[in-house]
Amino acid sequence: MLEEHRDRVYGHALYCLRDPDDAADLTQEAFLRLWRRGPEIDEPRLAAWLMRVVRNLCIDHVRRRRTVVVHFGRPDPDALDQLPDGDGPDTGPSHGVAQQESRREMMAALATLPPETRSIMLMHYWQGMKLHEIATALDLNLNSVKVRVHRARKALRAVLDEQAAETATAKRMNG
Amino acid sequence: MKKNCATIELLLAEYASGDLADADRALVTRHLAGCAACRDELAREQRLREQLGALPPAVCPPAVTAAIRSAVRAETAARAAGRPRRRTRWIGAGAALGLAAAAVLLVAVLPERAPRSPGAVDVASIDSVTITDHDRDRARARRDVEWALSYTAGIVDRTEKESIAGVLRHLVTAGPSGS
Repeated sequence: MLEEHRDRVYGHALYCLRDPDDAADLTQEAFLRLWRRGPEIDEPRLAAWLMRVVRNLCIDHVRRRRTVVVHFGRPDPDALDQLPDGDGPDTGPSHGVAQQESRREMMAALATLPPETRSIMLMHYWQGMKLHEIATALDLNLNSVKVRVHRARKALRAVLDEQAAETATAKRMNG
Repeated sequence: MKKNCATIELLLAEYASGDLADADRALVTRHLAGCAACRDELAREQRLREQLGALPPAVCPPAVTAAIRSAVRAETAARAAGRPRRRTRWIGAGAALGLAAAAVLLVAVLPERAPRSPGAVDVASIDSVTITDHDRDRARARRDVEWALSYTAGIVDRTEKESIAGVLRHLVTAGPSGS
């Protein structure tokens, strides 16, 4: 069970929080909760239950970062550079740099979303969950999930377009 | 009648992922044929899908798996030894809450600056020592509050946190007004 779900849980926390240490802590907490609940969670509901738990843990964590005065440290924008590049036809060094840059921009854009919406976007676009599965897992109305995805798409595109414009300006100034 | 663009836009994510039911799919296809704005929106949806889908898979480090197994073993042992988990957690939470309350009281009771007494003997030296001590105490108390808040938040679940957070909020709000 742990082997089957750990990468999804850890990956969700990692992309949501952009901090490998926090992702590790939350993954541990999610599986401990699962172990404590034990037989209450039947197999078909297990993946959805875990996603709800890790999503709630991420939301709590982000809120705690904001509301408690303690400085937890800002997420390291380079923290995800250790992840492997996807398998593509062009895997030369320049392609790798471009991929990293694109990934960094996407992560920065995702970070501008509220944590609840960020989780939904990761579940759908990265983890491949269908919207009705997300609605069931999070106990939300399907239409509410659709609206959030739609708004988040617009918000992300606005941020990404802005980033692209800034990059183009910087290139013009340097070139 | 042309379907409202706002309604169609809500369906585009499922349209692009292929999860839309046949009737809705046909509806969206018909609308797209006559609406350039929604075709642009679909193109944006598809680009976003590619970009987010291209984020590489994350692999849970072996150390995390080992830590989970170790924590489960520890809890199993604690249960076998007859120590109820929640009680242990509440003792920890209670201690943290108590510490936070004490620290808040300290912050509230200690004045921001020690009162100056111009007529007293050797005022300058006493005053400077007092200010330093008070400032240090206040800083320490603040750190204690911060630590206790983060500790409490970390060890109790959501429902428990809400009730504790309510108490702490009240204390933190009430605290500084006394100084």
